[in-house]
Amino acid sequence: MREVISINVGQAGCQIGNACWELYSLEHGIKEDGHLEDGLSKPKGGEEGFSTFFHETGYGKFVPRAIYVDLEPNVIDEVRTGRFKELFHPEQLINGKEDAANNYARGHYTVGREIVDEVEERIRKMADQCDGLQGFLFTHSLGGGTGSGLGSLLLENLSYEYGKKSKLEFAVYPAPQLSTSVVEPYNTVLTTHTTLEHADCTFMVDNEAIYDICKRNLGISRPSFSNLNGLIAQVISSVTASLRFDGSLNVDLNEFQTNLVPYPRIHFPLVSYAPILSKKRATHESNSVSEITNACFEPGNQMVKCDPTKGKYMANCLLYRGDVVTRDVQRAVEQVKNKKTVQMVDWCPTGFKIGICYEPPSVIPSSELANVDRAVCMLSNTTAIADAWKRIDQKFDLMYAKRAFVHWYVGEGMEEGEFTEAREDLAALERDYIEVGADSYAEEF
Amino acid sequence: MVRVVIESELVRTEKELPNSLKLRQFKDRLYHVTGVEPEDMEIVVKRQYDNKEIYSTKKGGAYSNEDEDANFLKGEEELIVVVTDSNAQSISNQLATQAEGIPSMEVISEEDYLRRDQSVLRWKMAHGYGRFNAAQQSQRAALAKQDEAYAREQLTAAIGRHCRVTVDGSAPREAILRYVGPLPLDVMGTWCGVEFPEAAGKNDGRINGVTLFGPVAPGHGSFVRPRAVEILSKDEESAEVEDVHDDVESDDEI
Repeated sequence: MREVISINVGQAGCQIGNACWELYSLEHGIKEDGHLEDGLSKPKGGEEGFSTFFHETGYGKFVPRAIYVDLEPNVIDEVRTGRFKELFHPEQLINGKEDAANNYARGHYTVGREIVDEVEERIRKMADQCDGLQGFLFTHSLGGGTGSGLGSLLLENLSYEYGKKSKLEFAVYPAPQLSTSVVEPYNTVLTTHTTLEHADCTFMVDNEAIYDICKRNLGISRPSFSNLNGLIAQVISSVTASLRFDGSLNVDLNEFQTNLVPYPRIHFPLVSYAPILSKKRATHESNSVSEITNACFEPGNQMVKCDPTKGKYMANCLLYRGDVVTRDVQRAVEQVKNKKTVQMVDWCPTGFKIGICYEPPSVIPSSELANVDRAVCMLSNTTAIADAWKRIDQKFDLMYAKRAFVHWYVGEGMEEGEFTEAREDLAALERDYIEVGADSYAEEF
Repeated sequence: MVRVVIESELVRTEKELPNSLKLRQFKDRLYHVTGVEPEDMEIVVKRQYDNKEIYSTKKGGAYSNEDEDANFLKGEEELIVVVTDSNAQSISNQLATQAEGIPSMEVISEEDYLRRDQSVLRWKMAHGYGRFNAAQQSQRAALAKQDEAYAREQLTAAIGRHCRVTVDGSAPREAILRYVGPLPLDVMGTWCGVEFPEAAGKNDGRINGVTLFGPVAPGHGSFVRPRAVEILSKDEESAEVEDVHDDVESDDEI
């Protein structure tokens, strides 16, 4: 047994959580009420993998190993009354009464503190149900008050309580153009600083990249949060497929860190996914292994806007799902490695790893995404992702120079020193990435 | 509960709001999302499905009493709320107009970075990675010196000649030597620009926008260390490369 507990925090975290559990349930043959689909004698995906994410109760019912937390009731009330209301145990859904008002300080210090003990108690209870807990999978936004504030508080506390257990994050990173609140840059910098030493691996998803993919690849003219979250869930499902099914790489949570994170601070792999096709276009595409592999190197398939051709790779994992054969994969990877735009860091060992999971991806019926026989998800630790930090740091500076809205935070008892300390840490992170890219001994340009 | 899309100059987001909010509470919610002060706030509320305006502060009178219920939240439909800031001097308007173009401040100096306990720099130093690998560094320096001498004595005069290019770990490729000198990159020493008869290279003779030779056809050029280049005698030249050489001479390729 190697259980993983998912913790969804804040509006974005909970809504993405909903989309993920809908997809996981579908992939494993679990109905909305937690029972097996008719005609199944056991869940799809093998006992071992399945039990990583689901807990079986004595009554033939399966319950997600998940906790939902939000400071205000609205989003979680929707779970309680929605289609999946019977999938979850009421104790898994925790909310407060007063929201974080987009403020990290409220999520982390004032309002969040009131709820954090209760949340940890529920997590403890869930952890007690596990034989061999591997770790935690956080889903939250970096820009929202609850996601950033309470999310980092929980991550910090779990780090003390569960020591070496892995902690992975899926983090919604503020979009370059579309903010979900005016103080997103503050929240992002503050939460990143707090979690930098506690999270083992953080997969960032930038709302604008997702928004553009929805518009361009899926033909949705005005993507809603539910469209965005549906796509994010598809990607998360691909990343976690190796944990849930019998994959061959990143079968355990800590393998993500081993394979992708050469140095603890540099733990933000870029996620790319292919193919992303609308139901209409799917029939016109062949989606060979080589095509989808190449697509992962196209900016249009990246979950964060940045330019990997200008960066260097420290590690790379290609996770295939569905109908693929090893020979095709090897050939495709060989082609990619020889591409002139793929530059590996050359002063330390780097890896190019491949994982295959023969279970093809599923698609929820309401999704715009087409059902495909095969897909690939690329996790690459590239220095190009530092662009994301540069962007948010710059926005932070613009605002902090005017001390814009800082009084919201000070009003909750936070000190201005925490702003400067966090900002310095992020500046150091930018320098860390420059240092990774330095010392190039390439023999050919 | 009603789903609301909130848009302002700086923000676009979705929220679930209770139906029971007072106008004052509604404005306060918007303030914490958009940063627009409630007294400067102009609000237009539209129905999502037909874009019909159902409320506007611009129509006057609506804010006579902020303790009134925000009645437009009572319906079932999704709403779009557009918030504008009537105060040109406000913080959010200032931020909106300067969203671009200001460079990141020098937040942390080289020295401050060096002083930090946890950094990639410290890690590299501790493990002797990259430039902190003394043995490798002196080996590289020696190689660079040899490279430079070899380039000066033999290669500079051989530009235009046929050569064999052997880079660590890949098969030898025949080419024509086109350039000897430094690169406009963060790399030290002397480099050789070579042109291949087929697309066996990494560029077209340009690096970072600087043309060092050609430009030739895309993928037909590369830059390698002098030690990777061996000038061929006339008898060793293969016909294939000769052909391309002629093409280039007659400018067909360019």
